[in-house]
Amino acid sequence: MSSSASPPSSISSHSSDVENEAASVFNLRRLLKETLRVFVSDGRIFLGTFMGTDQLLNILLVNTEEYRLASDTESEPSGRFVGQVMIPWRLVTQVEAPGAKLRELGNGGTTSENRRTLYI
Amino acid sequence: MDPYTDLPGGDNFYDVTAVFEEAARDMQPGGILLAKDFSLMDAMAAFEIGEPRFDSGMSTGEDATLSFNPLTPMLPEEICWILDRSLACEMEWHTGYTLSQTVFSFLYVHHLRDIDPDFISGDRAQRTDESPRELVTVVLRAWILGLLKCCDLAWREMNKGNIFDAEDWQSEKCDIPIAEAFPVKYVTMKLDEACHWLLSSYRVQSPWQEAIIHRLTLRKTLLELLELQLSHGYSKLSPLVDTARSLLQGIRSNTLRDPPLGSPAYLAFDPQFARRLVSYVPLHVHQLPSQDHAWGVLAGILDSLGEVGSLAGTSSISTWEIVGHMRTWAPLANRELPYIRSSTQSAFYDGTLILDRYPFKHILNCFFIETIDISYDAIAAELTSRWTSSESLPLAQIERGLTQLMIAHVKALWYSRPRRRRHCMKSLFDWHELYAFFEDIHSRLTPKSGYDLITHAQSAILLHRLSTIREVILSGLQLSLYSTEERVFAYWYLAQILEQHLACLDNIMSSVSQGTNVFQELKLQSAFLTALQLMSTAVFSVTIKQLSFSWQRMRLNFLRRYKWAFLPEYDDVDLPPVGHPNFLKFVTACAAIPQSEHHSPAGCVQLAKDILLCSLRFPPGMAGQWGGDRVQFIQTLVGVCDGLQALPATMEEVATFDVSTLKWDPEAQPWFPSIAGDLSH
Repeated sequence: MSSSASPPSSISSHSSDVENEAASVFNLRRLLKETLRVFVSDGRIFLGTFMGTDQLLNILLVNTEEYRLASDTESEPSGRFVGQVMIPWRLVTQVEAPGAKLRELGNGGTTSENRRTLYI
Repeated sequence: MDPYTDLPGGDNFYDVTAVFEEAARDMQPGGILLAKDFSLMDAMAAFEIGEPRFDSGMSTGEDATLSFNPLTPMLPEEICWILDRSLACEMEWHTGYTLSQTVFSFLYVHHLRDIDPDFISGDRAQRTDESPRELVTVVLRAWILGLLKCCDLAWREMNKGNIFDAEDWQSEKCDIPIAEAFPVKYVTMKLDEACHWLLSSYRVQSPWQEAIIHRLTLRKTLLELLELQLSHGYSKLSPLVDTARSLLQGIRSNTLRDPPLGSPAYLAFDPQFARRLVSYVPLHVHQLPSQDHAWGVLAGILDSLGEVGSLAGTSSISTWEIVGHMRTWAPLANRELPYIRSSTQSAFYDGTLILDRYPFKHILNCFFIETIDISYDAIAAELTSRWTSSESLPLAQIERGLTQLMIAHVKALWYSRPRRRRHCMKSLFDWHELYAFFEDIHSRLTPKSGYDLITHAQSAILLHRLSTIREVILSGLQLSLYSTEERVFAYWYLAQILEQHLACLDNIMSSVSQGTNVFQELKLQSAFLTALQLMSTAVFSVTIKQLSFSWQRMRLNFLRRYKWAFLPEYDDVDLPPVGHPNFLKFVTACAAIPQSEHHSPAGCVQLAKDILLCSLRFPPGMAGQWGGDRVQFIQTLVGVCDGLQALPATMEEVATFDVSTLKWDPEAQPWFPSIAGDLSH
């Protein structure tokens, strides 16, 4: 974790809790209010603002758009606004965050360039 | 977004799945991580993905949409079948389902641009002599434009506020255009072009050529009808309705066979498509009914539009009331569709003129002329000449109050039944307030001995209030609202209200010239209500055995059921309301009637039947061309009387009568029971 990185003001800051929590949880906390791209097992992709999760990793997103990969005959992108959703972890196949945030976390990862090949 | 090269959100995303997994390992069981200002309560509002009751986009494993190609060549018979089934989708929307469950499951609706002949290159679609491309790009496209435009015109009518979204109809368009931007003229031109292509093309032969042309012409006629209704062209509705009826009859007489299994025509409909649309709560997949059912709904719309045209040409408000009552008491199949109920209300009053041609005064004139045979001008003149107070005569207040009440009263006749009942209950205080206001004015007039015109005018208001109370009770029976115990009270109360109603009618009839239309109407109403009172009394005296609750519990129940009569607003009016329910009187009646030696339930029913049969010979009164409907309804009531002949002849026999044989079925008869096993009913 970068030493220059401090918790964003938007994040819930019960200071004593935050100080005592594990680095992994702190890393996750820093993703709050970031745009996440969540892939689920039935082929849909959810793009929304991450607002919270629990120990079971039910992911809460707001202002979410739902996408499904377009069929051969569809020329329009098949996205729709679904608002506030909760995605259970059992359905999640992958979670992605914007690159800038990931670099702050100091965590390498698979870029979507690699994953994209799955859909070509 | 290019689906082949990009993912939604772009390329600058990195996998953080591990971040989640590591955090989950280190979090306490039950631990939660929420953004600032986002509470657990906010989180509760989220829809759960993967939960079929909430996740409207969940995959069901079947995706017909993926295999649908809008440019697949179709045979004429397949096109004809698609036209019919898409009309079935439209009719289902009219019956109250959402567009996403019905019209939007017709996949071509989402591919209008893909089948636009101006944007298709020659090699994109196969051409064969049997399946010419124009069948899709010219014929089917014109039909879809017509279908969507019809939906748009009906949507505009239903969105006027006469009926209620999500209660009577579903307005949600899910961000899908329904030809809002296309003028009707453009769409009719496209339909004409399609007919012209069919006539000039050698590739579509008889009988499919005629079949498709008939359907396109029917669509064009429907389009013209809906546009005429929206622009208040009621006088021109009738010939167009006749044309549409005759086309429909021709189409229905030739039943189409379904295409063979494997036909691409089946792919044109995907009932699961709603999960791709913007909707927050998933809707169940709606299976389209048979084509004959769809034609039946369309026939209902056409008949109803014809009736709207006839009603719009009827200036008598009483006739409107009679038709409204007939349609409520004895609903006809496919005649209560939300579009029709909205159109009828629009025809009566659309915010500017009554019946699109009369000022508000027409309501006042009709109200008094058709109830007491005195014009409003005569009443106003009498009030002015006898006014003694130093204050100015509040005529404007009377006019405004009565006009608003009557407009709402007539329009409410075409509300859904539960909403109409609520409207009636709410309006009762307004009627009482108006009645009390008239009484106050009356007290400030020069006294007059003998015939007093103002007393009769006041009776007209009371008469409408009493009939509104009657409707509240009857609608409760029709909606099966009452419990067994409540039903006993309802029949007793109905008989009481009708007693006061009949007294009021007698009072008015004494001053109306015999032979006038108004007198005939009052006489018929008097006979009808007398029969109704006798039947109510008979059923009350038999069902009294079903009272099993304590009086205390009955009273609590009574106060809740008749809460409209105990509103605190009544305390602000000096004059006590007429016709309100009285529980103590009911208790007394319950104690007295079993002791009565002269009361005969079967005798009451027989007398009611005789009166009804006699009333069938009366002139139609104010019913106009709907006199036949009223006769038919009275004949149905005669049948009910026949079915109740087996009721006990005396109150002694009531003790041994098996009340459980009385069966209520509002579908068969809205108000009265039949005796199970009785073959005469």
